[in-house]
Amino acid sequence: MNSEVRQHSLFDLKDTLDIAGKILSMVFMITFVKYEGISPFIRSTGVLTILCAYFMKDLFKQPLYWFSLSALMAIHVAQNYFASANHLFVMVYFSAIFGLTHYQLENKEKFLITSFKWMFTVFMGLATLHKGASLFYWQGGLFHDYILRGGILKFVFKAFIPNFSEITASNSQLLNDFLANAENFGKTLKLNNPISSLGLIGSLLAGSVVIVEGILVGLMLTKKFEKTKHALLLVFVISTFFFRLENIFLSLVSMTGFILCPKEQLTVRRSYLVLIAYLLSTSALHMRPGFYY
Amino acid sequence: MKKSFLRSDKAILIIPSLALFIALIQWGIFLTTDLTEWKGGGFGMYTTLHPNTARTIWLEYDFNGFRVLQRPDELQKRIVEEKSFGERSSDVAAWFKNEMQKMRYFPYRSRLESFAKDFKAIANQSGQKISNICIKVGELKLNPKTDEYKYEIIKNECELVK
Repeated sequence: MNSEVRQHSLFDLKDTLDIAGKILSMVFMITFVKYEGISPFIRSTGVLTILCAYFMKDLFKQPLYWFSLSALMAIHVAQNYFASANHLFVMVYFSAIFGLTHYQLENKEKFLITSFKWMFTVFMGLATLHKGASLFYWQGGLFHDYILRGGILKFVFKAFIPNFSEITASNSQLLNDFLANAENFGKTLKLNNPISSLGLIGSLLAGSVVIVEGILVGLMLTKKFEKTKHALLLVFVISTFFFRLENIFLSLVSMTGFILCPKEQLTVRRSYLVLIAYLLSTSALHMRPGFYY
Repeated sequence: MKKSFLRSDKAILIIPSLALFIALIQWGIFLTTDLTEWKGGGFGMYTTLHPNTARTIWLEYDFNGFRVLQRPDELQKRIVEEKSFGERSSDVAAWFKNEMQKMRYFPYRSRLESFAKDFKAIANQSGQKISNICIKVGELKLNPKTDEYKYEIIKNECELVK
């Protein structure tokens, strides 16, 4: 039965290089189609290149294909260095890794997995260091701001605090009006606090993110606790999804998880793919699930 | 036969090292300048309020005997409504708005000067006399202990065009 299913499926779940390559190409495609900030030349060239790869599947295995995508995005990032989102930098790095991987004569998959292990260590490690070094983050400042303006967990808070939405909507308006007036430079504004234990909630959320990210970096560097670390990464991606609309970045993190996941763990691999499909489809369809502002 | 460097095991470290290098440069720049932690490839997101909601940029200039102070949206609206730049007003207005919004992520002097020079040159071409251009960048800082937001000026540059 299993072998029959495998024969009829669109891809082999154990073919990491093939699946991850198609996912990354899809991420590029969505970005080029959606992101109007990228120049029309780069967008059209990128879309054409990716379309060619979907029709001529050998292109996915060509280093030149990956280096072309990497170069196109690198041009955009270089031209908009201080305005580009971090996930565009990540796309440059990831596609260059695929280019180098396909340039190898042997052990391509090992090259890919080791490169992604170090990339995960770099970007997740730096994210953890930045947060760990920020007093504002430890004090829960970011979560504080989000909750005061009704940006996150509003469905949870609304269940316990009936006038939560009114308070946060009024806070948002007050803040917008405050920012729109240059006479307010140097002045302060105090918003209405919808929750009594906001400080504690903010600090707890901030602390737990730093701890989970730190643990993930440590676990990814070891060969042990395979199930635990991938379960933790899945939980991390899903919970982050409820806090920030960063679906492209989260799909890249999930793709990294898929690449680093052992082949025998088919359920975990499927979970990553379902998650990536959901994240990419919400991004492609401009769907905002409503958890945010 | 000896393998080329790109086909050796050491090649695994090329891209992670490049990412680390760029991130460390970004760390150095934001510590010493007004670059926001959210931009520049350094993964410092979430450690400050997002600049799209917390940073504002203002263009101030003399026009027809008045001192004008505008945010990107207001500048765009005025250019489109008054057709200040003829048939291409909406394109020019969108460009100015986009450039101003991007500048607030990293408002350094030479970039502000370059923008002011373009703004004055385009205005002059359409017959508008604009002078004494200044650019201000404001940032909202939250004190989580008191729930208070403070609106600070992080950049106020004048005499941008000689």
